[in-house]
Amino acid sequence: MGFARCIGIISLFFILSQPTCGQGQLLLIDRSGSMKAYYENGLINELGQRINNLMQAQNLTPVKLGAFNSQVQIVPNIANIQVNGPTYLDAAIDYAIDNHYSLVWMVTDNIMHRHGEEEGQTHAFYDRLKDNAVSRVVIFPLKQDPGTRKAGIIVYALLLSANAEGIFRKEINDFAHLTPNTVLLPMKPLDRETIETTFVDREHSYKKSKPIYEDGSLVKEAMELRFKSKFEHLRITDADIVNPRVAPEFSKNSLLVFERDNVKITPTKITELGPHNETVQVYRVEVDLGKITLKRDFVSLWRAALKDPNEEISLDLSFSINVPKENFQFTETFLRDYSSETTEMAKAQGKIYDLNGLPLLVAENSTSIKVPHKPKIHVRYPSWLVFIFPGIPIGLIALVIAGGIVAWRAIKRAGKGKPQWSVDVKSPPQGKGLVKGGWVVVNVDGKQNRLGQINGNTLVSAAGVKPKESQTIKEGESIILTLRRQDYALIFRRMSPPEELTRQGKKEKKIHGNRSTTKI
Amino acid sequence: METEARLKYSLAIVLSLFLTFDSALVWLAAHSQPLIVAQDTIPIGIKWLILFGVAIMSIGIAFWAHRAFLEGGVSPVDTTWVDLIIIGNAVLTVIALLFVEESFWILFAIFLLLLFLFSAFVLRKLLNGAKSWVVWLIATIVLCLLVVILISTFLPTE
Repeated sequence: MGFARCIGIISLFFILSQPTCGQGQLLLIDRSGSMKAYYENGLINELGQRINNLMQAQNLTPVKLGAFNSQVQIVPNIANIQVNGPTYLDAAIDYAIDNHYSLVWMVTDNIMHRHGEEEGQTHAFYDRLKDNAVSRVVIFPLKQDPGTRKAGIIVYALLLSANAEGIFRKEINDFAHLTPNTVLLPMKPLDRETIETTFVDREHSYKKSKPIYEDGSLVKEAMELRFKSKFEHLRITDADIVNPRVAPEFSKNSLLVFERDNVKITPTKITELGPHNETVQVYRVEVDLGKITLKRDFVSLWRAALKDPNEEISLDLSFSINVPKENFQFTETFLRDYSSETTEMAKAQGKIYDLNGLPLLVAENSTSIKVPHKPKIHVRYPSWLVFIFPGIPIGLIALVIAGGIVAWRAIKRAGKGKPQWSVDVKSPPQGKGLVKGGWVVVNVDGKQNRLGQINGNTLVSAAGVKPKESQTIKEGESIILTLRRQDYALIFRRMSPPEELTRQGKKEKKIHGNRSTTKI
Repeated sequence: METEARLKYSLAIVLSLFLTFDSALVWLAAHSQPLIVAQDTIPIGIKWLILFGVAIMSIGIAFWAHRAFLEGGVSPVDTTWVDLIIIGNAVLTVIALLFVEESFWILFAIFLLLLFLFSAFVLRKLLNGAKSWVVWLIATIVLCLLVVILISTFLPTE
């Protein structure tokens, strides 16, 4: 019982300590007084139904419908919404965040009903959008027919939980596809996936994208590129490229090291970058990583000799483009189509009031846009690794063998008590025999023939000599051997000690030369 | 057939096959289609270990052949040439399998040609009759050409 309770407490602790991941989707529709006309002409009903269908099509439940003015009220359907009161956008988003929804849609005319509170409430709402609780913000400005005397409205799509990103992308794309008179404006994040790089000389750069370096070679890469905007309707003016850095991305088991990590980009200013455009200016990037070398410790060298000798390294070049918020601007075309300067003009033209101020409200004071750029290089291990493996093991084996031979000779020398033999050749008659380094050699007409090797009292036949079998040497007895169809009759004699001494004396003479002795 | 003649003809056939195989490897390397596709990714140490292993093995085979040829009545000088040919063929074949990439194929082709000339020279000394030597020479060249033509039909066209 105690054990079960313990498990229960631990489980409860884990459940409570888990971060809130977010769940379900919420459609929030503005029910302030200013929205009355949109309910009456059926626009809200139509939009609400469309968004609800998109939400229902995804596997992210529950799907709830809410209406908001100064507070949020969950309603079963749009027909049940009572229209009155102010527009508190911040109250609406707070409700969604507090109730841990993953994905929120908001439909509003973006006009505060109560005069005097408008500015403060609007800023509060946009501050919430900048908050970490909101991962992504996409805005759809919806134009109205000019003849209806109604201003355009705004639909916000907000992602509150990163887990629902796939569903969020699907829903916003479907909504943009199904809804006329609108555009998809991604407004958060502005610092990611918004600018990319393109090589000036694509073909050349592709070939150069994987240059092969050897151990000890200098890694210096230079490339020319342009920046390309992925913004839909935002343009950037006067931005600075700051702190270009390079971080080589080694694989987990990499055995390579670089000397330094210098990178330089020129020029460092972006004067103008329109949506989906490339900069006219070409930027030159110079990367200097110094010498690339294999780690020189023994274990690394050993491993290098025994693994795939190729390594591919991504040079993670990150450029930060700093854009002050006033330098984010909608394009002239977009503003002409969707924005109006006064509320009266907005109603007359069916546009949205003061849309040009939106970037100022949504963007941070200064947005640092991360531009990833990852060229790859290929490094090949050096061939001299062969000296590590199999060089060292083979060297050790050779040493052991050499040591063994030396030891064997020493043992052989120690066993000097063995008998010494001389050889006489009976046949062929012109043959002269001698024992040289243990080998029995017979000279016939100036040609030396090795017939066998003496091992104690045994004669071991040399290669090509018949009979192959070893024979016991007996003093004075004849041994007959055949080499290349020539028979040899040999008689062995045991050398007398003086004979041995004479041979030893000759040896010494050879070493020291003939010296005369003088008696004093 | 007596032992000496049997040994000599066996050697001639083996050399012919080795030279044909090596010429096929060179032809493949010249067309960027090495027989061992992943030779570039084989660890350096393992490649050389295999090479050393084969070199030692070929020395063993050469030693065995040396004794057999001596016993067969071939002179020690000629048997030494045979040893060199056996070791040369074995080592060159392993190099062709593991090391020859596109950039080295010309160098390897030169080595192969030299080995072919050397083999022909030694076989001329071994095969006493000029007729059998000419037959070997023609057979080896024809075999090499046939293999190269056969491989060319399988190689992808550019």
